[in-house]
Amino acid sequence: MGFIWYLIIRLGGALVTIAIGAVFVFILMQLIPGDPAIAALGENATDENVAAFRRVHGLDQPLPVQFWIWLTGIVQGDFGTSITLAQGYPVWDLMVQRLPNTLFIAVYALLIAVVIAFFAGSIAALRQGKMSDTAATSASVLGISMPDFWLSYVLILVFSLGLGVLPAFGFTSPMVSFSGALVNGALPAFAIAAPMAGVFARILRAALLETKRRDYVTAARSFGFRDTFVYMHYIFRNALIPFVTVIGVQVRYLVGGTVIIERIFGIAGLGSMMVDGAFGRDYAVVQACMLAFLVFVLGVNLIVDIICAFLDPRRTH
Amino acid sequence: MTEATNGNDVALRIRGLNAGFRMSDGYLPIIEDVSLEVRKGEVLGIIGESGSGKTVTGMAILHLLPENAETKWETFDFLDLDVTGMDEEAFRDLRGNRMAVVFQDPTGAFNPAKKVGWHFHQVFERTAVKSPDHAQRAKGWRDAAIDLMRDVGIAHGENVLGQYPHQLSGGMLQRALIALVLAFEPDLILADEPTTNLDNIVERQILNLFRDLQKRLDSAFVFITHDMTIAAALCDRIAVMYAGRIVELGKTKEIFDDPKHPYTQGLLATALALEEKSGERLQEIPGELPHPGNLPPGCVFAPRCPHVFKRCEAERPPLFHLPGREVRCLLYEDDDVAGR
Ligand SMILES: Nc1ncnc2c1ncn2[C@@H]1O[C@H](COP(=O)(O)OP(=O)(O)O)[C@@H](O)[C@H]1O
Ligand SMILES: [Mg+2]
Repeated sequence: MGFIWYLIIRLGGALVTIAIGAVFVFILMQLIPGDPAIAALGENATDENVAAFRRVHGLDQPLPVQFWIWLTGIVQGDFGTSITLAQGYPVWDLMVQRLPNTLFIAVYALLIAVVIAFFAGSIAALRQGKMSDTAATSASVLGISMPDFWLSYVLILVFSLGLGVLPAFGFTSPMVSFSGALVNGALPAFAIAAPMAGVFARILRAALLETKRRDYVTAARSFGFRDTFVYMHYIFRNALIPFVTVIGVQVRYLVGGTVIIERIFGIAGLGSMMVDGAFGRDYAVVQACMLAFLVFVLGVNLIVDIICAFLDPRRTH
Repeated sequence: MTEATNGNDVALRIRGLNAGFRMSDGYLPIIEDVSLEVRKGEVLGIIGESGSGKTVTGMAILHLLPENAETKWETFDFLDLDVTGMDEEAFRDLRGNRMAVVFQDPTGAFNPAKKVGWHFHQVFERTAVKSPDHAQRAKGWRDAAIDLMRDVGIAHGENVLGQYPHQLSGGMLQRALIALVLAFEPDLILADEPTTNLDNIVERQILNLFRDLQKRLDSAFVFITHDMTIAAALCDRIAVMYAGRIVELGKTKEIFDDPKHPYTQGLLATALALEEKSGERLQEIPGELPHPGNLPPGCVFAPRCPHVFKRCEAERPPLFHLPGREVRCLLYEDDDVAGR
């Protein structure tokens, strides 16, 4: 009842956001200086060649017409054709190759961050003011303050060049070998996860400490419930709500992380494709990648919201 | 009921309770030398204005103060147990099953993530250790919960079980909380201003419920309130608190007929003025409660006392024992029968 409505409203909201996002993405690309024809044909291309290129790819059409063609294509599942990056290839085919890599790294990083935060945050809160709290809290600050690209190079130095246990470059698609992807993706995923884990851990610690002081915890103890029971069913259970909410908010930084990390670790993902596409003025490619990231962020947010709705009856009842 | 003084009747006896909090800027003493006694079937009122230390006293008794609190006792007897030096795990086992609390804010007392029914289920499970009968009852906790709720005036308990705390009114939650406490059949029930957060009509109903319970049950009650009228209606004996100390203790009727401590006299005058609604300005005691970190050197009430004299500002008065009365005021030094 209440929940189904909640879901419909949230899905509708996500669709509207994607539509608005599509317009923005399109306008943004047009604002970027540079000409795809020059990017594809080189600086010395003749005027006729440039004009012909523009005609072939529909770039001579008025912008609203271009937008309309692009949009109607997307609705039908056609994301256009790459004009510079992989000339003539449907963008969708390029995406299908690369999307699993990016999704895998993103979800891998998110899981690492959540698991680390879960332990670090809980230990810090349970042992507030003690040595382990200080250690966990300092580690969080360290994680937050390390830029991901810097951490990437440190990880490569230590684990690849130094210890030689994990590969620095190249990535196995999870579609080919899942375990291979797990091993090869460990360093890039950890580089993205570290700053997020720091933020998550601090949020969880703060949420646990805040919840611990609530009246209902005193009430639970007045019933004579055991400490572990009170911790699990009252403190942790209620602190989970702000914790999960923050995860949803932080997911957008995941996207920025993958764009940089894919370049550094040579992962053929959406992020690196988007950067290459931007340099090549490959409008269709960049627009498709941006839309994919938008859908990803909205999707995770939706999942997070659904989890929150289950965790917090006050939102749906 | 208040006459019996044989030792076996005493449910709770506390002597020399001191409590305070470790703060960032040092130790903050709140409660000093609190001694009280509650017998089975008796209602002891703790009365005093907001901030006088009633809640801290109550929570200290149940070992429910926050982690930065420090408590000390000379004596802490509960039923036939000496719990003075009891370890926390053993004491936890007394909570709920032997002593339980009705809190001031019923909305805050429930786990917001769980249905009311979950609370009943867990509480009945907790009571299962008391006896085989209780264990049996815990299995059919739904029916038992609905019965209990009917006892406290919730007609449709089966619906309430399926609802989340935020879906219920404060009055309804307070009834549900009282039902939870009753499920424990505790020997001691502490009620900390259980009606302060409720509107007048609901307050009256809940107070009637308490009066009914206290007649029906054999439990000892500690009833905390800042309202003289409520105390007069419910309590057999009253302890008047001021700035973390009990300044007067005696039978309710005797205190109302003949208040000894100047603070009690002031409280009663204010309550009377409130009742008659005579003057536009209430006849309140001038001045305000001292901050616990900044207490006057002598009697804590001296700065507001109409009968203050020189010694009051230098000496902390001990509790003087008058016949049937304890008063912490130098005016009664010569009436002391205990010879302290
Ligand atoms: N956790 C705490 N830390 C520090 N001071 C506290 C704490 N709890 C209560 N106090 C102080 O103790 C005094 C008594 O408070 P309380 O017992 O709640 O008063 P009452 O219940 O009579 O209104 C107040 O001055 C209050 O500020
Ligand atoms: Mg209070």
